[in-house]
Amino acid sequence: MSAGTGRWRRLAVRLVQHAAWVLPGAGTPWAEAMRRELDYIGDEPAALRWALGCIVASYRTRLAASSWFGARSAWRWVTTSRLASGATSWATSGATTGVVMLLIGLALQGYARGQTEPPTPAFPTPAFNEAACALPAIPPDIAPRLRCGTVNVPRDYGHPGAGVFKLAIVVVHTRSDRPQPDPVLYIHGGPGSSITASAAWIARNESPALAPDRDLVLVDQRGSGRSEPELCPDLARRQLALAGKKVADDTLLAAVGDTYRACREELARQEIEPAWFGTAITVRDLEVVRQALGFPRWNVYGRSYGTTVGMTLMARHPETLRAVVLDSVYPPDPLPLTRPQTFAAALDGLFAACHADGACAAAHPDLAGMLHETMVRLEAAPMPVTMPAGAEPKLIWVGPWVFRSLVFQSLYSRASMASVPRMIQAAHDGDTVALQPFIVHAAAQYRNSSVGDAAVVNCRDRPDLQAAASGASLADMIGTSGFPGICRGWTMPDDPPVVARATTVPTLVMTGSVDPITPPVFARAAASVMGPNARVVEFAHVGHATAAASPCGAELVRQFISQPAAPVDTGCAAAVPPVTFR
Amino acid sequence: MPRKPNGSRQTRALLATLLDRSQIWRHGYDLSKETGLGSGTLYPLLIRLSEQGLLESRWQEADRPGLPPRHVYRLTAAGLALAQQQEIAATADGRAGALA
Repeated sequence: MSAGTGRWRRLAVRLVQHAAWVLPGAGTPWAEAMRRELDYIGDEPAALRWALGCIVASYRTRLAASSWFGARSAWRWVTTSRLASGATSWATSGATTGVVMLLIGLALQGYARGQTEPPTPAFPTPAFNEAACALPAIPPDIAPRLRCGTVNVPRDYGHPGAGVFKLAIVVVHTRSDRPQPDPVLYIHGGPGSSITASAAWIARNESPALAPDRDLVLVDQRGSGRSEPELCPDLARRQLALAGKKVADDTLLAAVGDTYRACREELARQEIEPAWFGTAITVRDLEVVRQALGFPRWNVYGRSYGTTVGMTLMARHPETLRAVVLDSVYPPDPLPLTRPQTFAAALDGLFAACHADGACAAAHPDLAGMLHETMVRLEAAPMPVTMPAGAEPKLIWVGPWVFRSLVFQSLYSRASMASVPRMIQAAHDGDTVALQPFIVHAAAQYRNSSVGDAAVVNCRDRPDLQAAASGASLADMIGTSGFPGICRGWTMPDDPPVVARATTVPTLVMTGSVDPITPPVFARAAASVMGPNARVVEFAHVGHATAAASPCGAELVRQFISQPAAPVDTGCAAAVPPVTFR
Repeated sequence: MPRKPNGSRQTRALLATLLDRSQIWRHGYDLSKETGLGSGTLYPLLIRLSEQGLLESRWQEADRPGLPPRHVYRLTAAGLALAQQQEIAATADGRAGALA
């Protein structure tokens, strides 16, 4: 037994072993189940009460299953809870009864001999394997601040001896010559985006802005970025290629569905199990990374899906966390609003902002009406947009689904939302030349994400996605996440992400007022579960990812991480200026 | 008077607790703390619900290295339906879907 070796605990162990002896055959897993719980009961009297209860449980169950005693009176005697409650108060009442129980325990010990111990899993010792930074385009002034390497994590935590995945890690050193000892773990979104590839940009921009005197730890989550395994690396490209043919959306989406099925078959051939993925497993990986890097505590900055990971980390390992920033909160299912609803709300925000902006209102007096008309036109006749030389596919047909997804994606940041009225105008007027740069940018972003990882993590995490498998309407589809039927044959949802209830960790929750995917209602719902240690800040005129959207966002993160217990003046959040349309 | 199956106070308490976070696999000790039922009462109930197909169980890896896997439980679809019926019967107002 790993937890404690006191006399009462040893007695408790013997008693539970006796319970196992009473429950042979089909009862064996149950006896083992009761026995293993003992390892998780720190308090010795509680462990003893537990063990006594196990004896009662085993006799009750055995009696219920057989007619040993036949006599109904005996059955009733054992099944009344008097024995259980009587025995527990008896056992904890004093030393005399304690000695008696100890004797019983010693007497019972013999019965348990010959029971085989379940194998104790062998976990690899967490270690950081430093290596040269194989990152593209690292400027010479940044290179000395990056420490690169890998950490091995078990492929399957249920069978930790059965192989490892290498996770790509980059530690970005602060420019400060007096760094604080606890770094900031920067958790990327997606699922399926990558973060180590952006190390140079983060070192130059985000490190001084968000945590000037702390190192940042960048980890590509398993299945994404430069971490193992590669999950259908060709999937995004194959899906984009489908948009190169002129077909109606239902045909296109059916073909996209086929790419997911092909990916699932590819994983099966590679003997990669979808059950090895999911937020709960990523959280275990991060704990291995923390141990490998040797930090007793760290801070978290999690963004978008990174908040899902961050909140689950808060629930599982609060003792390792000094302060947590959750930027653009993506809570577990059930979500308070569906994606079509959050999209519609962000569009309403856009229409209102354009209406309030003199130039935008003059150029697009009825932006909502124009968008509606555009969708009708694209339904009747998709627009062919030629891609630049060398790009694949050479042409993208923009139908309602592609355009809806493009507008949705463009509402994420203040910079891109400023162009959305112009983008709608271009599509409305059939101006493929004006539309081209938007499509090129969105295609490049899509190609750089791990669509396979997104599917495998979402299918594992989100029961609503399973439920949506049959009834979802293609007319509401945005992008490929939440694809109807996507999870069929992948994996069942299991061990879902959680929001830490009544957390003790100081937490700053940041949300953008016009975020198309994780609106303020998500942040407030999650914060209400986390309790008074979670403070919510809402930024005006900001979409998804608020820290990068305004100087105010970065400043609040910096202040909070520097002094989590101090009050943060959040006044600047409401004063973020409206977007200037261009 | 014949007793309604699964109608005892203890069973109802257990079903309500399992329903509370029905997607999450629960440990025996946590269930014991949350329901106030000792292991002597809890496990016979878990075993019975399991035999009736209302509860599923599996072994879950420990979240701390070095500890053995734990047995975890959650309601099956049938168990969920029963627990929901029971909850509707018990309270007039429906609860909002709480976040886990």
